[in-house]
Amino acid sequence: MSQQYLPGKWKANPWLLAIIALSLIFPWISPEYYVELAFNVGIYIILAQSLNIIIGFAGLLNLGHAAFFGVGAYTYGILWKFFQLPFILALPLSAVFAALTGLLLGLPVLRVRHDYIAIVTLGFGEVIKLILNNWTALTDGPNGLYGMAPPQFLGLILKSRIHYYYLVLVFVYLVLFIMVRLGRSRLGRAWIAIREDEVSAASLGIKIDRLKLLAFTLGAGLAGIAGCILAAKHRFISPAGFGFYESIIILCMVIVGGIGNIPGVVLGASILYIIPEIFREFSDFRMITVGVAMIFLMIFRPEGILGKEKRKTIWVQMEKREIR
Amino acid sequence: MWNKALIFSFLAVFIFAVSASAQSTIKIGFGGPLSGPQTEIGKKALSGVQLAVAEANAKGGILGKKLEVIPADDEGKSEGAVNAANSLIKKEVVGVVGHWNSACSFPASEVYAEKNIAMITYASTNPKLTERGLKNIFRTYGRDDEHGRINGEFIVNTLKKKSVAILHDKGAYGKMMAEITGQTVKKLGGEVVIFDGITSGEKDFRAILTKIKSLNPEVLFYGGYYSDFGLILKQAGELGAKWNFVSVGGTYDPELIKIAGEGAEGAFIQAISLDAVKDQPSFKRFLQAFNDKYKTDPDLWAAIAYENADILISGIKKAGSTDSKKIIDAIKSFKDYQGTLGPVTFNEKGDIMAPLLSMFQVQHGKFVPYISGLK
Amino acid sequence: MFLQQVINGVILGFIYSTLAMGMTMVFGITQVIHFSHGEVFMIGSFVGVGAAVLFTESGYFGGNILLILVVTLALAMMGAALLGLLVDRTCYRPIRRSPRINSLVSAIGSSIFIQQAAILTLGSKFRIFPFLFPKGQFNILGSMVSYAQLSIVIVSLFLMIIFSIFLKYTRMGKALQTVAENQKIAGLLGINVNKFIALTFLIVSAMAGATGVLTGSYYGSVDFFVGFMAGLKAFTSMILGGVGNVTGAVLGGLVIGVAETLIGGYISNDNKDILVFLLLIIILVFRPTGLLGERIAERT
Repeated sequence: MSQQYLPGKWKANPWLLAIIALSLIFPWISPEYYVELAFNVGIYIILAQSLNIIIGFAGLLNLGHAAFFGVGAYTYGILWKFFQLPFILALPLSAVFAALTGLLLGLPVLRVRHDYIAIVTLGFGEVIKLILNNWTALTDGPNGLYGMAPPQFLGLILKSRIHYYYLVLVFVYLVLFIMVRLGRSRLGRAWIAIREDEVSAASLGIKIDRLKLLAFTLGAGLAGIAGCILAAKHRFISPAGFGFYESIIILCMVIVGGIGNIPGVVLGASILYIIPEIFREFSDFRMITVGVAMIFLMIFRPEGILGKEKRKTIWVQMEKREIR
Repeated sequence: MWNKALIFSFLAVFIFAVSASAQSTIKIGFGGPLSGPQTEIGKKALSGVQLAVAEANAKGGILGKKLEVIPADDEGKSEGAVNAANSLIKKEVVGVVGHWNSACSFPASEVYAEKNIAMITYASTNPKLTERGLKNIFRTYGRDDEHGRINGEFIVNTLKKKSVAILHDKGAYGKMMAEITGQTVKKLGGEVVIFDGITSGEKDFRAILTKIKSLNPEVLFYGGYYSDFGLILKQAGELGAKWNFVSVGGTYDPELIKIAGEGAEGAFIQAISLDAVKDQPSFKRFLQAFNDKYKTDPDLWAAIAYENADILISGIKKAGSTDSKKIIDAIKSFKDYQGTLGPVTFNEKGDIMAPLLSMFQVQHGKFVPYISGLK
Repeated sequence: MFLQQVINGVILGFIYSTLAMGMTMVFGITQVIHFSHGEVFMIGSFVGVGAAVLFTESGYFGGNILLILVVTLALAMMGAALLGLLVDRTCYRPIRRSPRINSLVSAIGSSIFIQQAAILTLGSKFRIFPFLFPKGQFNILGSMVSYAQLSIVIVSLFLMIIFSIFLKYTRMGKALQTVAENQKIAGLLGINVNKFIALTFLIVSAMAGATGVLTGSYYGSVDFFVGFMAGLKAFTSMILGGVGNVTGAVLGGLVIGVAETLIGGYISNDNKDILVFLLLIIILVFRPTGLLGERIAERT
């Protein structure tokens, strides 16, 4: 089963090697604007993959993913504001706090009916954004936090776009590595079992609740990392950037690429970030294109660009045999 | 596999094709919300800039070249602003008129600062914007801390009222205005009986208004924009509230009166307003030109953005070059520059000295100047 | 003041209830959360505002407010119904047999599409809605209720009652209930399931359109972003009451309306959305199927 949507063993796939090589030298051969673009794409790849864990592996439709992104970013912002904590220390803490938030969301999700998960996660996302906005003492409210120090490694202060590109590249590869290993591990198979047929999975001794929570926690933690990196680069964050629309965009990236499909989601994230940038003059039409894309994809190609046929029927089985 | 390769090559071709652009114009950037809930504002401001550029081009351009406006949508969000700023830098603009939200101007200004590109904002009022030591920021609108102080003083000293209820829309602008006004009121010996927020876009404010009514304040101060304040005025009127209303520039718009109906009568709004300058020749000229081009009257943002573009263009002229750093210096050196809305001088932080602030009152359905030239 | 706040909340609650009713009906039959119901409501109010402004300014009906209100309602209901049918036909029907997740995503997409399409064609400015209710208010136990508020309650109740009668006592209504309970059997009985689903959309969208007019006129202005908020409140009410359960939706709407108002008035207006959400979660933890339990169809 895992072979259907994960890359095969580590054979020396020439295309893969070419892409990796290209990614390593990219910033030296491209104009600044594209390096910046690539940085953002990298952030969204991490975000989309982290959502992929929740939706793709564990089968839980999360419409509030941007909240975890925001918590990660704000962890760095807040720790900097009060303690001037450097990036190196803030990064793992961002992951931890975001993961805790994921755990927090996972708890009510466990209890509610399958169809409610979407709404509950949506509500949760809005609530987190509201909390970030209203808890002024902690977050400076709608004005946002700024001035976080750039990351510093062994005396090297990250300044240029090239530095940040490599920073995000490291994490993109790390996350992809985690995803691939997860997909092929017992944990990954357990998740997929839950997604496909909860009753049978339970009868096999798989601890459903625990694993669902784990998916949320892990997905949220990774999203938090992306948030921390973003905060470090932009050095300014505000609640506005972590709301419903962001969650929808990330969701679309996963859908376009193919739910559960790791290379697909990389592609989905890239396409969905780059195309609106290319067509900047038509920014009016950005959201409407997203809406249309969602409808079209569901009708004509629900398994995403790189998905395989089987996708269409997986969810049906999941619904039929759901346990509460 | 082939799909992937195809898609990638497509994208590569696309990107590199799009990046080819003509070098023969002088490009001026515009940053603002061109999508999302504040699109109208962004578009109006953009129209002001476009008019200024069109006029300059009609006169033969500057330094022998024509000018071009490059709009960049920041979606009203800080990430959008960073992207917008980067796209403008890529297009090699020599100066930027923008942005609108302070949350956008903040990060965008840092991006522009990297390349020493001037950013003249037409609306960002967060005081901290010009307190960070960046040399490339200018603003023509004024700052919240001053506006807030003026509001507070107006309530206590001029209206002679002591108990104030304060509401805001939880946004960066509205909340800051509310806070600073509240602090000023308290400092002057007044009392803030309640300080609470409303959700912008929600229509029903009766819950909080009923609560405020039971606390019986003399004044209700609101920080936010006209679409919500209009409803607040209307519903407060329906509830029979007898307070004085005071609010800020964000609510200064004829639409406010349309929404609020009779509820708006007697409300005080502090604003930088076109009404205060309507007799100035420079403004009249602008008004005529705007009407000629767009067949409608300009709003405040269009006017301020126009003025900013005008300042920028003059800065380029004075610098005599498209070196953006020289342009910054040129703008800094302006003394009493004849702007559309009055004389413009910037202090070393980039703030405008003596912005024209007035207090208006709604009388018989129209904004009437109550006090002009507030400081 | 307490009574006044409760009254405020009840009025708000009726608006949520009517929308929640529609959403819950659709869910009961199709198991899809009809995300774009809020946008249908929004479009209804825009059709309404166009009509109302036209009639009041041109003097078509001789300034007869009641007549204008009725005609505006009719037009808005028709426009909204049409939109609802369209959404069903294009976004839901083609993937009826597919997994529900697909329909949910499609629903979100349709909601975004409708909102953006409206903004692109009509511009993002809001519109002023003429006041179409009798003016004035009266006193109940020291609190004020305006005739406008009373009208909203009356019209909402009227719609709800008509709908219930339809469901219980007409042939079509009973067939609808059969489809709602078991699509397979309904199909075997020769009932055209798709037609009945379309009928459901028609009815609930018309109701949403009517609510749009009432809300628009009551508050006096309409804008393109109310759909999202209204939709969110409607889902919350629907879930609170128990999905598929029409009475539950009505109860849910009222509870949310009153809770929201009381929390806003007594605790904190700033944070009221957070607290209402928390309330929802708490209720769901103790009663996962909602206050009055669920009623869902057996899918084929």
